[in-house]
This record gives sequence, C-alpha cells and structure tokens, in this order.
Amino acid sequence: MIGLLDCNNFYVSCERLFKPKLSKEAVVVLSNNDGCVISRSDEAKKIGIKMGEPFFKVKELTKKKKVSVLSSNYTFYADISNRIMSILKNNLPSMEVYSIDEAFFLLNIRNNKEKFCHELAEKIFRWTGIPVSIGLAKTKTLAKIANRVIKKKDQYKELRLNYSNVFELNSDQEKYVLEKTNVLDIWGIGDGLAKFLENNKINNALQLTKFNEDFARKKKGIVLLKTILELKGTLCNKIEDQLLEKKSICVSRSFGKKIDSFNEIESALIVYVQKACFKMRSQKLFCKTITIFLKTSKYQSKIYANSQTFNFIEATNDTRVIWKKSKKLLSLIYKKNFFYNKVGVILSNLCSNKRIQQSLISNIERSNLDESNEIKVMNLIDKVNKKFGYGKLRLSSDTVGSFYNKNKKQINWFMKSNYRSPCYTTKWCDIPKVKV
Amino acid sequence: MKKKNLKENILIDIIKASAGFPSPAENYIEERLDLNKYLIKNSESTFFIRASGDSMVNVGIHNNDILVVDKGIFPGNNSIVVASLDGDLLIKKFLKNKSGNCYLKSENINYPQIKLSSNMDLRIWGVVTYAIHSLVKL
Repeated sequence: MIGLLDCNNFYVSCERLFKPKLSKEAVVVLSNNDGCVISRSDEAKKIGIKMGEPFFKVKELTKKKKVSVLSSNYTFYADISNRIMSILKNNLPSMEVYSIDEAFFLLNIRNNKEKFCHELAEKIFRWTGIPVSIGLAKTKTLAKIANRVIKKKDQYKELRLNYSNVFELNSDQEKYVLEKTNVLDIWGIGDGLAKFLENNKINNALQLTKFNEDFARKKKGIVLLKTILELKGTLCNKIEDQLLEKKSICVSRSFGKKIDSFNEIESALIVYVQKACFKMRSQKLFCKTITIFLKTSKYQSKIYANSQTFNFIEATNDTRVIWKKSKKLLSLIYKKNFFYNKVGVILSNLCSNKRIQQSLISNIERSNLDESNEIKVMNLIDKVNKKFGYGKLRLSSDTVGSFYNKNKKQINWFMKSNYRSPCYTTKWCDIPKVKV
Repeated sequence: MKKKNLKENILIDIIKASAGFPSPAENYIEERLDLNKYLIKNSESTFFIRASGDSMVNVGIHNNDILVVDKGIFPGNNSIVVASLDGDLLIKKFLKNKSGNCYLKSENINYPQIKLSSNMDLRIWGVVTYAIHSLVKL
C-alpha cells in the first residue's frame, strides 16, 4: 500500500505556528518578490482569492477583507518540512520526499491502516503544529487521488470518511471516486494531455482506465500509459528512497526592480554564482559546463532573452574559475538599453571527484585532487561561512553578499519581501519572544 | 580559526604516526558531551523560545532566558507550558485541582492566576523542559 502525505496549506500553516492569532484569520503567502499568491488559508479561499493570482490584482481585496499577507520565508518552511520528513522516516520503512510539503511512503501493515495513519498525522500535528492529510491506495497515482478526496470532500459527497485527515481508496469506492475525478486533476496530466484526452472523449479518471493502452502509448508515450496502468492499480512508479544525484544546479532570481546597468546585473550574478558553487560543493560535485542566462520581463515592449554556455576542459568546483567565466559569458549576452528582470547561472555536467576526466595538460595528479590548493581554499571558505554565516567570506568583487535587504541598503535587484516573518528556528536573533 | 586548523593538522599527524606508535587512548575515545543531546529528546518537536517578563521567576525563568520547548510532550499537572490563550502565546504553570478546575498560574506573587473557563480558547502549545539562563553579561 502506498501513502501520500500532504501538508494542508503548508506555508500558511507554518506562519500560524508561532502566531496562533492567525489560526482563524484569512492568510495568504506570496511567492518570491511578493509576486503571486502561492498559499492560502481556507478562509482566504472562501473569500475568493485564487491560487497563483498576482498580488497587485488582489491587494485591494486583502485590505478590504483584512487578510493577513506574508512574503514567503523558505528558510523557515524548509526547517519545518525537514522535521515532518524526519518524523515520517522514523515511523515508516520507506519514504520519498516528493516536494517541500509532500511525501510518498510504503505502508506494510495489514490491518487498521487508516487508524495507523491517523495517529501518525495527529503526531505530526502535535509535534510540529502542521495539519496534514494522508491518502492511501495501491499506486502513487491513486494515492494522489485519495489525498485529493480529503481536501475536496464536497466533490465526493457520497463518500463517508472514517477520519477527517486520512482516506484509504479501496475497490468498493474506486469506481465512484474515479468517476468524480477530472482528468486534469490526475497526477501527471497537464493542460496539453488533458486536451488530447478530452478530444478523445475522456473526461474523468474512470473513462481513462478504459482508454486504449496501445493507442495512448503510440500517441503520447510511456508516461500516459503508466498513468493508465496506475489508475487500474498496477504499480509503475516505485518509492524512490535513494536521493538521486543532481543533474544540474540553477540559481536565479527575479530582480526587485528592472535593471539596465551591466554593473548592477553583475553584482547580482556574482552572488548567484557563489551560491550555486556552494551548493555544488556541499554535494561534493564538480561541474564541466556553465550557462549564464539573462532576460527581460515578458510584459514589456522591448523584449530580449539570451544565454551562453561554456565547457571547461576539466571539471571544477572553484568559485574563482567559474566566476571569471561567468562574467565573460554575461558580457557576451548583455545588450545596452534593455530593462532586465532576471539573471541566472546553471552548473551542469556534474560529476563526483572520482569521475573527473583529467586534462592531458593538467598539473594536478588525480590521486591528490583533494589536497590541491584550489580545493583546500574552497573547503575553507565553505567552513568559515558555515560557522560565521553565509556570505562572510566571499569574492572581493562581491559587494553585497546576500539575496535580501538586511541593512536597508538600496540595491535594485534585491527581492521584494516586504512582509516576511523572522527565521524563527534557524537564527538565534530571530527566535520567537513569548510573554511570561 | 587559524589556531584551530593548526590543532587539527597536528591531530592528523598523530594518527599517521600511529602505525609505529599507537595512542594508548585509542580504544577509550568517546564522543565529547553534547548539550543538544542532553537538552533535546525529540529534535523534530523541540523549539527554542525567548522568555519576556518576570512572572515565572520562582521556577527559575527570568527575563530574556532561552527556553527549550517540546511540543510533543503531553502536559501534566504542574507542567510549565507554553499556552495559546485567545490567540496569544504565554508561559505559565498548568494546574488542575481536585474539583476539575484548570488554572494558568504565575510563579511570582505579583501576578494573579488565570482561571480557565469554557469560553476561553485555550490550547497547550508545548511543554517547557529547560530554561537557559546566562550568568555573564554579553
């Protein structure tokens, strides 16, 4: 049996943890740069605020209805997420973190599965303050649907659930549930596939189980076939409990304000490049390829976007080497008189130090790679930053050293996060103050 | 920082030399004491909170102390708790007397105790397990 745990309105629930006042109020959390609404409390949903809606469109409404608006605080959400995932890991034989607020898991017990999961959900709520829902079924695709049943109870009115936060989809109710589930609400089916299915008169999950498998595979490939099989109860997607090695590392942010000056874009890029290199080294990886991209917003009259890629002869993890090239690539794609809103770096062709293909003219012997001065310096920088705070030791051309506006310095590319809560659980100066 | 690195280097040298001259302590090395392990039973359910106010001085909670709070523990009679009362968090002693009445009691004679009634929205947020009080001025 496969379970899918999903945290209810996760970002909003996190924000409510140290502010019980918010627990009965309408609350929304905004995406990076305070752009769009990405998490809503049930009260905010009732007011009619839609998922993904741009903030400027609902700003008036939030004022009128006294909705609490918050910027996203991913540092805090990640810590709460790690706590929940760790509780799951300690209570289940096998689990897979699917996203910041979802996890698949294997359930090997025979009886009282719903009761076991209900108790697990209650424990998570008690320990972390985050309400969760658990859907149980034969496959991942069905578990997703089982979870949806809990969240959208009014769409499945004829069902009687034993628990408010747990639902096991078994053969008795399967037909009814699948019939009431739209194709667009099935895991792995996006707009394009949904349109294709609708053209073939497939509107709900039950109809999809009867769809011609060979035809599906021929037209839309193995992914759709797997979805159909999973809906019928054949396990196609296993629980991936081993972390997959990353294929690429990307760091990129939208600017708080549009920028046209090369120097300002460069001052943002150097922060992103150092962050990407730090991430790469923390996974003990080296990269052979770097890509720099730069673009204007789509919503303006003069649009431009470009990218440049460079391959190193020998894979590296040296921030200095990577930055030197990055700067050059940026100067190749930068054009004057455009107002840019995003720059980013992608490190790809990643490999571990044992798999580095050496250059013929390299001066470092492979066996001594870990002891080369370059790598020692990089490790030292990471160590210092881990101890004294990220950005304390950085390239000298980096005049900023952070993504956020900490010192109220006026920097145009800093992300807007006007309503951000403190990092309650990761910074001593930010721990919540409580009246005694 | 520099000093520490030097020390680490020396340690590596000792290990390298051990082929010929094993450290007599080698089999007796234990991990150094870790306060985290002492203060935290469940890291997933433990949060740190800074106390603000003097209503609990008699149980040793002073203004500005750091409190270790375990959300996973069920509160008993006399537990020091973080309670959420009508939307605000506060720290008090949780009391239940024989007649079944519940109170949030301060540990300072200057503060009254709060009798809990059914029209209050009370939730026990967590149980305070330790108070960390600094004895030096930082």
